[in-house]
Amino acid sequence: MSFYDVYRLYSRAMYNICLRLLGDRNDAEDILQEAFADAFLKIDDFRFESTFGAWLKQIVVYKCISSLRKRKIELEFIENMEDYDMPEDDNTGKTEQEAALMIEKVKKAMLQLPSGSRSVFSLYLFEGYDHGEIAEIMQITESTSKSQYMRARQKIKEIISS
Amino acid sequence: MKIQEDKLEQFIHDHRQGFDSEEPSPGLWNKIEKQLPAAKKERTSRFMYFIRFAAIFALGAITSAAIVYFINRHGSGRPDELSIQKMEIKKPPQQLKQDSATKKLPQNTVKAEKQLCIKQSYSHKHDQDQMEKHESLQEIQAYYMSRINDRLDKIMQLTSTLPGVKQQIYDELSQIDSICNNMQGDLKDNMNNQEVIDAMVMNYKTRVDILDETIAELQEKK
Repeated sequence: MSFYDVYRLYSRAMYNICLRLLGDRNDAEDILQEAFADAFLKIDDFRFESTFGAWLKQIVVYKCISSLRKRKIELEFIENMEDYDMPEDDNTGKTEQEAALMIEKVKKAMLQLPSGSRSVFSLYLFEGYDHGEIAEIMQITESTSKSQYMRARQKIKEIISS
Repeated sequence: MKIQEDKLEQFIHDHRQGFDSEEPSPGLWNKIEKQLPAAKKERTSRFMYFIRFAAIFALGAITSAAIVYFINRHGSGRPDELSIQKMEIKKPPQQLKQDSATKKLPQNTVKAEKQLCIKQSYSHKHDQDQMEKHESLQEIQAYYMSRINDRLDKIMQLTSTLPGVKQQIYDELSQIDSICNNMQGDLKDNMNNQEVIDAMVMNYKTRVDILDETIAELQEKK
């Protein structure tokens, strides 16, 4: 198995993480390139304490958050907002076409979130980090992570239902 | 504390794969490759073997999940309607003589075993160590192949009325075999590399574990 095989195995998943966190294809590819090159160059630092995928994901996530910080200096978050829930009679995912449509809606809605809120939402719901880990990665408090997650979730529901 | 899952969360969990549909540009690998020193590009390291085991473990998990799925769906004890070819599980050479007509391993495993059993010619005295290592490895292989075949026999009995499950296991084992074959190739070219030998032993243990898990799943669901 060559590095290219490893790249093929993980590039798609890692690229989608970058895309969700950064919201821009060019930025996502730049970070993906940087992350893979770093991972391969520092392969001897990999201590087998986790899976390679988890190790690589950690590199990708840290690079994405660092890139957002460089651009924005401070990550932007959603201010207070009212509770909102999806209507009960929606057709979410009843058929494959509806599910595909809803996936695109959610993706687009996520892009409308401020970078910080989008990152919290992505890391929690898509990447499986808990709020303690997100707080550490993003240098925010755990309670900020929790509240931003809930606000991001509400905002997405609002956007896709509008 | 985990936030109670709502409809949006449920939808995303249920359609998680659909959110990973984007692909990076085809030319991105070339850019990455240019950043790597030549020595790094072709190296075989412990890491690469780790990746292979990760793949094998993943396949093991897939097999277990598939078994549960098929048994839940078709496991009423009667042959299901899926049209599949008869699965053949092949034994190592010595057992083949006793039982060649009934069970065969996927073709790749047979090929791999043949590769392993081929005696290499060692023309120089300084190759003595290498030969001893080879013989020791053959003993290890014989031991593990015997354990693997015992488990395959059991799986064949347990899936005799579940052709869908049998086919699924066959497919997964074939994939595991293709990974193992690459390792066999490395071993052939790199007999002195203890890492490769360790990796091979770990590979056998992993296969035994996967088969044990599969048997446990089948027995539980019977």
